[in-house]
Amino acid sequence: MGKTIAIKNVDEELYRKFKAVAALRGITLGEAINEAIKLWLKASLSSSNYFQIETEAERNREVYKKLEGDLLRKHLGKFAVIAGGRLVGVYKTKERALEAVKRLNVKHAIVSRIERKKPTVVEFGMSLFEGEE
Amino acid sequence: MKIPYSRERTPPIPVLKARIFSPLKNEYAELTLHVDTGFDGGVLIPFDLYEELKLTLVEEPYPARGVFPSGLAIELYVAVTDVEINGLRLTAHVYSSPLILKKLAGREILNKLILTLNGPKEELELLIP
Repeated sequence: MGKTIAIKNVDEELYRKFKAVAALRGITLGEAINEAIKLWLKASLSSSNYFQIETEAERNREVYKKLEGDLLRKHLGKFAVIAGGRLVGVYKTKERALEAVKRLNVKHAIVSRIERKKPTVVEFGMSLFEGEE
Repeated sequence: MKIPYSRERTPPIPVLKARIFSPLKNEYAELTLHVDTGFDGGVLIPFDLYEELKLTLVEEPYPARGVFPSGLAIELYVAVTDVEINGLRLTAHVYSSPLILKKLAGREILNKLILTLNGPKEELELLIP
């Protein structure tokens, strides 16, 4: 199920045309918004491999979540390599894990010491808001 | 070691020179990082650089959540790699997102250094502990 969002300050005229075109094409507003966001992101990030990386990252993170319990029980302190949507191997040292990654032809991989981990939250300072690069 | 503030911002901003190492290539990127004591993480870099350093191939299993002062949050890629500052080699979390354009050094790094900010002289003095 998709996310429900409320957006402020949408241009009324643009929105009216957007709604009309979505209706003409017989798609829901949600579907039209998803399509528009994808196109906008593609245009904004066209020089990067971002979408391929993100797709692989999602698969690899899912695999890690599924295997986490097992890895913690059996291989605590070792290094896991997950890439291409599968567990590539478990290694005694980080160096060996990195060697394994070098042999792969992928855009994203997880190389992580096997220990209890949870998602972290980092706060940004104000400097991201100040000035232009 | 004394490093002049960068004048690319108004008022001038303290900066650090750092080398961010690629764990998979025998290479590093030499960067000027804005000193940002409000940033919790180690280093924040633009996504093209994150990719170039092959950090997408040594990712942590969970993405981080980066929270702006406004409360808005974005998902961040995160990897652990070596960072060298004035000869001191540290292991730090490096964060990135396609939405990030700036290069910052945050408290995960700054708290391992002795820094004096001499505002009137627009100079950062770095002492390695």
